[in-house]
Amino acid sequence: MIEDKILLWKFKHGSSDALGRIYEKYKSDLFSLANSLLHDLNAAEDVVHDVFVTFVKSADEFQLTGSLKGYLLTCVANLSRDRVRARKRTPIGMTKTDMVIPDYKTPNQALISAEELHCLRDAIAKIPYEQREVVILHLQGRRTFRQIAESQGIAVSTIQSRYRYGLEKLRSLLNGEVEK
Amino acid sequence: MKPIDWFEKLIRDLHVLEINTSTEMDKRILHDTLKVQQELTQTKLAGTQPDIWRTIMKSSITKLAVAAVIIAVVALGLFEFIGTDSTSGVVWAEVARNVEASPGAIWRLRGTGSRDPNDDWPNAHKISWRSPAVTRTDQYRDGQIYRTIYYNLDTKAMIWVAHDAKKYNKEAMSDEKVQKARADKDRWTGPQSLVNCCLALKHHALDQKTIDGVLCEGIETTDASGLPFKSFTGRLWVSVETGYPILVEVEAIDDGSIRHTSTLDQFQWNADLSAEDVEPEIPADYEPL
Repeated sequence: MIEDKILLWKFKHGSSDALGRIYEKYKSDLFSLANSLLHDLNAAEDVVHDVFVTFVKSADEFQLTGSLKGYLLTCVANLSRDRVRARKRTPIGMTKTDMVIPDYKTPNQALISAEELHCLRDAIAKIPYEQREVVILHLQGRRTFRQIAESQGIAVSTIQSRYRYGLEKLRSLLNGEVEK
Repeated sequence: MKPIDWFEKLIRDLHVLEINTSTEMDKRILHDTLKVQQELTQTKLAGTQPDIWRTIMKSSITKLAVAAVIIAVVALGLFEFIGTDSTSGVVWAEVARNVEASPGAIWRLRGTGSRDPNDDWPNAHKISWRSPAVTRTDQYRDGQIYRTIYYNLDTKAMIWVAHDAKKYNKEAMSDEKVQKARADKDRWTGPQSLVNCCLALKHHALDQKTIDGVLCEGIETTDASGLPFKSFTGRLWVSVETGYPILVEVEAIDDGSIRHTSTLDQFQWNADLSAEDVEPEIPADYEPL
């Protein structure tokens, strides 16, 4: 997008306004992704924070080959994965899940009940991380399987399998829970 | 049991996992991020300040200013290297020697480019002083000075003044920054870079013209190779009488297809720039940062 290119160009020339606009433009996507992956608002904020700080620090060397949004989403996914590995895949129980569900909803979320939303988020948090990551990146981040595969350095077929297994797991977890 | 595509639709189309950030979170992240950006900018300024053209003003015309300097030195170097002298007055080899031998210089820079909050065009200009050890740039907006940045590589001192906010900052430059600054300076103005640059650009002579009452001869280059632009045109005008540059004009299209212009004029060559004269005076009512 030309707008992103101009924003990036200004950002690389030290424009704080451009940096602020990039943040405003993509903060929701990035924060949503991080929270979906980590299921922890505080950790999600840390990840978005660190991604932007790193983004600023690498401004001089930064060369965008794809979309800016895609780049930032990949950064969030990579850092989230590192965080998960660091905490050695500590299981997230209901108490933790309850604690991190945000109060602020988007208009679309009014289309399903709070209980359904709660169940869905909780179920997603229980999908194995590798599968959750692909499901979220593909559906929420609108990344193609190929893009996800390239960013993780693994085969597209593996990504597709993880996606399929992830959705099956999600369906099995939610079986009966979100149906009225 | 819900079908798979129901979940896909829920997440993809209804964005049910999407959440908004809180105002507090935005403040925290933006505060930290902008702080890092500011610190990096200041560090970069400290490291490269002596090449005042390149980095001092954090603006979109910085690249263009670099190009303008390159145009000047390249053009001069080009004629020195090739030995191409004008038959009508200006001896270009002497021009190159004049510029290189000038102990200090003062000039004005004006530029235009895409509208960026950090840019000041069209109501601004910058005046720069430069000698081997001392560099100072005053930034003006609507005729009023609002920033001064000063470096002294001998005393390793840096002074930054925000006149509009009545704030200032004085700090010592590390040896590393001084070394980097000197290296950066040599990179752009040393004899070696003159030769290197001159080999890269093609040019042609322009007709004589009078600029501010001074008869000048000029050259023009449209060779963008090695410069950070898709295309540009650079012109260097030199006084026939004195053999010193009078005007440098650059027009460039960047990789975002945005047109920029830069004009360097009001040159004062062979200026005696003692550190005492160039160092900014801090008014009594200014506060340290």
